[in-house]
Amino acid sequence: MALLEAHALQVAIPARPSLMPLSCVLEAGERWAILGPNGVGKTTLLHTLAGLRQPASGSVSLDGEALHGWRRRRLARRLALLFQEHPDPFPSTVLETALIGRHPYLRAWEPESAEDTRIARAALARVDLAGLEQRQIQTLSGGERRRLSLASVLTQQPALYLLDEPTNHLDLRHQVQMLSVLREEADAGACICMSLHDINIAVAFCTHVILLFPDGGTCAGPTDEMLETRVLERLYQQPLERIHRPGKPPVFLPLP
Amino acid sequence: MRVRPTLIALALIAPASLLLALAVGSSDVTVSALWSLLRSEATPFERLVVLDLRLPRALAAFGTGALLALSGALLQVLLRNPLADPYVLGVSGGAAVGALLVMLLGLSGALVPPAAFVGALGSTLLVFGLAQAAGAWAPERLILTGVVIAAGWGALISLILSLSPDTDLPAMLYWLMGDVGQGATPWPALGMTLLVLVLALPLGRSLNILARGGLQAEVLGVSVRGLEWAVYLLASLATAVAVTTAGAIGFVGLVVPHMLRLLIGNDQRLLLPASALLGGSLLTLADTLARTVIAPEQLPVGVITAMLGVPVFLYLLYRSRA
Repeated sequence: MALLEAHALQVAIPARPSLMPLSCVLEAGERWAILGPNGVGKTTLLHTLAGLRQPASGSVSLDGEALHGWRRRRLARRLALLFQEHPDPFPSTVLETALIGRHPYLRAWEPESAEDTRIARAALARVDLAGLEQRQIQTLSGGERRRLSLASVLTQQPALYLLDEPTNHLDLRHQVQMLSVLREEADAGACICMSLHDINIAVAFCTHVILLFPDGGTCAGPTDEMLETRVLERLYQQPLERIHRPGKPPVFLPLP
Repeated sequence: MRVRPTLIALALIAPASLLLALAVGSSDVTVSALWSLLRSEATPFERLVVLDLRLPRALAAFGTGALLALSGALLQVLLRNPLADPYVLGVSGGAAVGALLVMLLGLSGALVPPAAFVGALGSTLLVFGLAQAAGAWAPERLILTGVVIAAGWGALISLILSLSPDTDLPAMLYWLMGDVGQGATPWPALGMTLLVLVLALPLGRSLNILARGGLQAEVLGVSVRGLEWAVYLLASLATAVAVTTAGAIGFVGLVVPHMLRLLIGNDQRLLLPASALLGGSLLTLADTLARTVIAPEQLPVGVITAMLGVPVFLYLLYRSRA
């Protein structure tokens, strides 16, 4: 059974013409990228897939059940969303922030258990934040804060990871590290779906892509069938050069 | 973070502030006299002063301070803004208009508390209704609506004051400045404090997550809409009861949660009970100061909290920037 299925889905984007209907089926173990220019609706699509917004038309279902029928708490154990930004108006420690992912598993009065703390610490170690557990989040750099958010999402142990530009703010080593953590999750049976600005990450890392074109067109499918130079040039309205590498995925460079 | 020492200190400060309020005044009662009072060996005069005059007043001050601090802490989560306080949303303004109208119309003084209560809740519903009417309600919209409504109440208060005969003015000004006063009944404030704690503590972890943003909370399984309604209602009721007990007292709701957050962090499961203890202790001490500092004259306690609150808050703000 499909993990997540969008059927003729149209997202409602404030103050913009809405996108063409999109249909796609996300299965366990797959890694999806959502590509498109600024403001085309990648974030809105992710929020709609997470059930935070009603679709303008069409439907989304998770585990074969319409998304709007899910109770939020139950949904939070199957699906996690990494936001693009973190306002952080209040002080909090790194460990406390990683632990928020355990919320959907705990009852109202129940305190976080030693097992919850163990899960959170393991997640922090995977994003290279071990040893910073007691640091205040306000003292973290942008990249460290980003990795902490991924740790919170890992602590949530979802079947579907929806990630809004997860590699933002990360240096190259931590980009590669984050992608390998996500690959491990996918290999363990999770599905990853993330919006990206870096085509080359999508080419090298993702099994499938969803393209959102500036004219409102949409399409979804396996990466190697979709990422043609002409299609990408139309997607970004930017001339590109495709560099062939024998035995490796190609690389796309923007032409001046 | 100094969680344990802070909690121990709070557990000591709270009873100490109450004891001090019982012992200090125009006729000092020694600690040994307080002790003999417990064993019912005191003189009738001491019994009158301590049990009938000071105890209700001290408890009323404690309950009021606890409620103001609790409602400040709750509203700061609701508005995702550490600078929110019960009065930002115009609650005290609504209460003041209710209370002053009763005084202006020359109605019985017994009607002042209920009128203040109705004014506070009415203002709350007005702000929430207006913020809601525009569709999805965002914290910023709620703050702006509250600030504008509060300004409106401020104008009405000035109007009432300018229409009132000179003889009514002192009572009105005293009410506006916040005063626990004689004959205050402590039970509504103390009962409400307990009720807010009992209802809000099981929501503690959800509140921690709500403090990180509405969408974030929703994605983690919190039913945000219901929780925000509950928080708003609890904070408004708490403020209404506090204002009804002791008039418009500022700064407790702002300073107390902020101070504690620096010491013990933002876990609402600790912050809410700690706020109640510190808010209660501070207002009890401030009220003791208010009735002793220029004895036999009394100051409105709101003046003391503002005079302490302004420099403390500026200091905290300055330090957190550094």
